[in-house]
Amino acid sequence: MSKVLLVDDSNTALLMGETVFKQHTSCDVVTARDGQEAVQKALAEKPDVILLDVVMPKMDGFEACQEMRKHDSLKNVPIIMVTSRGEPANVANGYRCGCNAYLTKPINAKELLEIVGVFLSSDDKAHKATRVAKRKGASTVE
Amino acid sequence: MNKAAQATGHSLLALMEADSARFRQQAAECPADLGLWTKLYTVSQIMLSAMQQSRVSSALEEICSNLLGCEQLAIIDISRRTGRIQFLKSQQLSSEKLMAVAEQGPVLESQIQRGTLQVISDKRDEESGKFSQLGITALVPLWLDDESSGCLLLFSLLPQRSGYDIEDREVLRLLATHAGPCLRSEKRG
Repeated sequence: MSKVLLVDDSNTALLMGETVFKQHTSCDVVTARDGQEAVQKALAEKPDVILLDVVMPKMDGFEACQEMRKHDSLKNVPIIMVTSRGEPANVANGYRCGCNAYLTKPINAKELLEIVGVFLSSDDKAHKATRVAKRKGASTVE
Repeated sequence: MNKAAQATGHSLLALMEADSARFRQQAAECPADLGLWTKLYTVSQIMLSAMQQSRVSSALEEICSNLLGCEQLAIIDISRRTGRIQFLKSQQLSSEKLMAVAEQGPVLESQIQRGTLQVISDKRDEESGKFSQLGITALVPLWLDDESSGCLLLFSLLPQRSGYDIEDREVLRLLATHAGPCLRSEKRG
């Protein structure tokens, strides 16, 4: 069974994400509420995909993403930034920090499932997910 | 006035729990409308939990920011006797903007009395023009108690949003029926 790590300091965003995955996938869902907890949970839980908010207490999503990429076990785990900060400079920063895709809030549940599903199901994960995300208008890196 | 607007205490909780269960079931049974039902379920659950923890206005901020893409908002209470406006909460709005809103008290009150959700960009009348100039994008009426009514005013949306879609409007309608009673219940402690 695949495991998704949802990271957000907002109860609303976490509940929305959890509900989408629990109702419509067989994924296990693990949550974290700040960047530090996200890194700890990512190392301990070994998720198959990570959805990471940017503006959070203790450690923001950019720092958390960089920190995760320092660990061998997390180098190839798909990280999708999910944030209200859609300005080009923030998107570019997300990719510099090592994310695979960048989605802006408010989240469209169907698009989220589709993009995460592609990351989870394909051998050529990053490439296929990039194509889907682009078709859906999300910012991604090739 | 709807059932939620009239409900208090335990009956309000029961009503919200029933709504929440219904939305959850719909989210599971209607994959075609997954986004809509998931959002409505999320709103009802967050409001329910916020009411029990006396943090309703903070929950409204979170809902508007995360589900609607609106980070600028104000929650207003208007006394029916005096017409006086009181800001219960505002987020990311300058004092000048709040003063400009306060000057529109009578217009706001007449809009609130209609009791229906108003998406300002849909309208072209004179009153809506005044709201547009203030950057208001939606007015959600809230029934607070017998002596006052209020509204949730939503201002500019995030740059990635071009307006309110069908799901957003259903979320706003749900807030119109549930947020007022929750705030009222919180005010009464």
